[in-house]
Amino acid sequence: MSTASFALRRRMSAEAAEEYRGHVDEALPVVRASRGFEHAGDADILEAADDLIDAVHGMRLGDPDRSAARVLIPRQKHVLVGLLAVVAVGLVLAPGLVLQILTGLVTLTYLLAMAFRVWIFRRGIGQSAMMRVSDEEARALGDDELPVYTVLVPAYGEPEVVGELVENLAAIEYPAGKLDIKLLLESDDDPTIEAALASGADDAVQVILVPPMEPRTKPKACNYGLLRARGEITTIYDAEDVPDPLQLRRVVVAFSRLDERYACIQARLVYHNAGQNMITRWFTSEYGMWFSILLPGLVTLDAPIPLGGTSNHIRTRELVRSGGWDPYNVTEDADLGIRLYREGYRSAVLDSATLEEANSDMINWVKQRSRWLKGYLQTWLVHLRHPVALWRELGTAGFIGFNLTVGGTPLLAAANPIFWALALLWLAGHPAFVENLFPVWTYFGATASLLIGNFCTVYMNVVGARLLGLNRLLVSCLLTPVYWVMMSMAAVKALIQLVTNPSYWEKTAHGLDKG
Amino acid sequence: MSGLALPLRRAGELTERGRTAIRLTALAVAVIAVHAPPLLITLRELHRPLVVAPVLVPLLLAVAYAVVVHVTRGHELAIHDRHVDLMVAVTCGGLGVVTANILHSRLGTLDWSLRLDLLGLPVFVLGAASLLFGARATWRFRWPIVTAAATGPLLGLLVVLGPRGVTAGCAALTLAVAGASVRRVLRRRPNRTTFGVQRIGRSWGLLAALVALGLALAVSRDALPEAPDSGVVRVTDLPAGWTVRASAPVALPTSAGDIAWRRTLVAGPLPPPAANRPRQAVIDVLSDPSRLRLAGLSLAAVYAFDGDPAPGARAITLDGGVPAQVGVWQNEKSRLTWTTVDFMLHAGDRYERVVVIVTDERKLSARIFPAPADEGAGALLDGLVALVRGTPNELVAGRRLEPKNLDQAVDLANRTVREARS
Repeated sequence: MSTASFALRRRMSAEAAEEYRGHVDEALPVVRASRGFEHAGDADILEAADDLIDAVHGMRLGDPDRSAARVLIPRQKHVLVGLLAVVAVGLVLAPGLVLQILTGLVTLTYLLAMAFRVWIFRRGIGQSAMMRVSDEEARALGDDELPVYTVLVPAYGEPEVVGELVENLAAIEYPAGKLDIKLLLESDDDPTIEAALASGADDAVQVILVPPMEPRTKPKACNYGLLRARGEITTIYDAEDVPDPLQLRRVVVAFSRLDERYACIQARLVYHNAGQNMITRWFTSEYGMWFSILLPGLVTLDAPIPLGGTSNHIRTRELVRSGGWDPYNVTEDADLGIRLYREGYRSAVLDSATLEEANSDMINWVKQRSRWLKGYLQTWLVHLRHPVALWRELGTAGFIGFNLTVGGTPLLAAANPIFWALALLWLAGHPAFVENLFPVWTYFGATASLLIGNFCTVYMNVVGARLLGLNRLLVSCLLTPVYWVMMSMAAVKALIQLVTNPSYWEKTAHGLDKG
Repeated sequence: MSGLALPLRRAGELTERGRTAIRLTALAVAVIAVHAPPLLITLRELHRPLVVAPVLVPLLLAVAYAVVVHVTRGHELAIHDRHVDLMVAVTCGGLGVVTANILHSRLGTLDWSLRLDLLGLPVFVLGAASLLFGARATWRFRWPIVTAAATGPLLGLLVVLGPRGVTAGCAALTLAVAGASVRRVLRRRPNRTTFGVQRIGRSWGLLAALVALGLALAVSRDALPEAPDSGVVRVTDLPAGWTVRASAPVALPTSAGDIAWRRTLVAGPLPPPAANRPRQAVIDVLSDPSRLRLAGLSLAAVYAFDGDPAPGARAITLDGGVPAQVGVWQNEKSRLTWTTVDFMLHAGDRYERVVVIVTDERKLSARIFPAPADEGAGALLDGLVALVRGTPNELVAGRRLEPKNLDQAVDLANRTVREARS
């Protein structure tokens, strides 16, 4: 059992600490009734309840402004209500002008997002910001030079894939004595637990049963596991991930080359089933672009990078000090990347691939992507709670990049259908109201965005696929606009859920590549 | 035990079938309610040897195709998302409602001619089915729906526009595509992957709202405006300086039934020598007892000048409240434009569709009436095509086209209306 706690817990106010203790008391019977605690003593149960509440409420109570438990803090609500009131009054008094201004602002955002993307793309392919560690360098480290490494593998409702875990992790070239692998399962997820036990996972890794408590999110389980971590470095893999066997060694070498400011190294995520259907081709090309070109491009700007869902390797001490993952944020990884940067830490990108399964089903894809986009919105709103401080901490380029990447991605994707409809209406009948929405000062920007922006995006996808050697994806890259329709559906769903169910973890089904 | 189990299982099956039947019925009712005008027109015109009948073929084909897909369906993933269902339902259902009810009144005969109703119907089915059965089940029927949406209007248009060879080719292509798709379905390997069934809620309310919206729009906006009563159209009341140069009946193919068509060429006063472009007009009067048949006769077919309808078409109201459509036509290749005003009147037991076309291209009369009237429309159209292709001018500059000679066309149309109603 753990003796650690997140640093944030120590910053709680007396009132928050009182609430915390109340939650612990409530959690005790939950833990006692949970699978895995049938024969536990009172001390163990108390410690587990304490860890569970730390994992769930530590950040919310220790530093509420960093937690996505609330979508908006009161000040944000006031600003939002004020803006909506201004727009509403404007729509009554001068609807044409207000709609023109709104259209102009969105058009400007489109242009900025396009320019920024082209800029980081250019930097991503122009400079080698990705760290590389050869096999020889990785293997040159003696066992005694390697730190204890914690690997967290959260799984929930995934009996289909959890059985592969042992095989996948067995291939990792790292001394068994220095590997601290923890399979994190919800204690009421009987099918996954049974599948894990049947596969012999409990012999190879430490199976930790997390007592059931809302929110049912991956970061909550990871926090619970992190409090029991023994390693100097902690990473996360999904149960179906197939990491590069030398990845952990490469990370150790990479950290040794970096200064103390670097707290995190993100490895590349690559899909192994690109050829399954058109969705997996689009997804693979998008991921290739993101991890191999755009993230390195952001690194060259010294801008914060939203971390990927797995294969991010973080110094455990800094991670615990930072409060772990936000259990209420459904892209806790992206949030952590920004948070670490704001605390003065930097992240690097390592050329080491982890193979994952690309989502091959449209509805499953929309659900997964809606979670990501909702998480981006949560992250954006959380960090914008103190915009001036954020600007100071990120710098101008980082601030702009953060807003365009983390905030702009979901918002523009949600706005796309409106502008597509306007474009179609204009082509169909030249209705006057569309003409009125785009005065001269907006019209040329919007036209540039429509023509040059879309061309650039498709062109970057094609160039990216070519540079990454993904020639078989070139045709699908040309058809990317269809993928944007799916993206917009996910963005609309994300916006709806942000209001109705912000911390709900939209589960992604895995194993679809096996038919 | 077994005696109890069997009836219970049967009851369950019946219940599920009953639910499916109810949903199918609701889908059919919704489709009929929202798309009543185009469906009625299509059905009523089936017995006539006119252009409307063949366009039903893709719809029937799509229905048959859907049945095959349903019967041969494999195992599907049980991954559902109500948000996706609703997004597809609202987008496609709304588009179908708009197409069926607003476009007709906005675009009038042009909409009917292009058979946009046949495009809107499958799109509406897509939306309503997504609402009732979920997006995944609807996705199963994507190829039948695409078959209907893609080939219906296309076939309709080609039947109207194209020679018989093209029509037959299109029909054959439709059958080939459908056949290939069915073959693909039959050879498909069932997908055995399942993930715990997630119940899908049914939003009958939204379906009812879509239907109500469609009905409300249909009631508030007559899909095909009723033609005002008048006498028989003559073309004698012309502006000062305008004279009738020629007037002759146009022979139509036998498939056109008993439609009568008279074409009159009128010419304006001679312009100053510098202009060198005498303004001229063709006034066509098509007459038939069936208003719908006249409406379904494609303007694009009648005036197949190798041109396309250009942006700028709009509805106007002529004297006496007669609704009319102003159309601008262009030929990209020869960079020519011409303007039409299209309206319909009700004269006794027949309807008369009047199309006024005005252009200032030179030597129009010489090219449009090169042959005796009994040579039929083909010769006339050939002459006009040659005319349009032959003399490029500077009018079109790749921007939005304004109706050139609009005032003159409207004046002629108003005079025709006044004369007929007097």
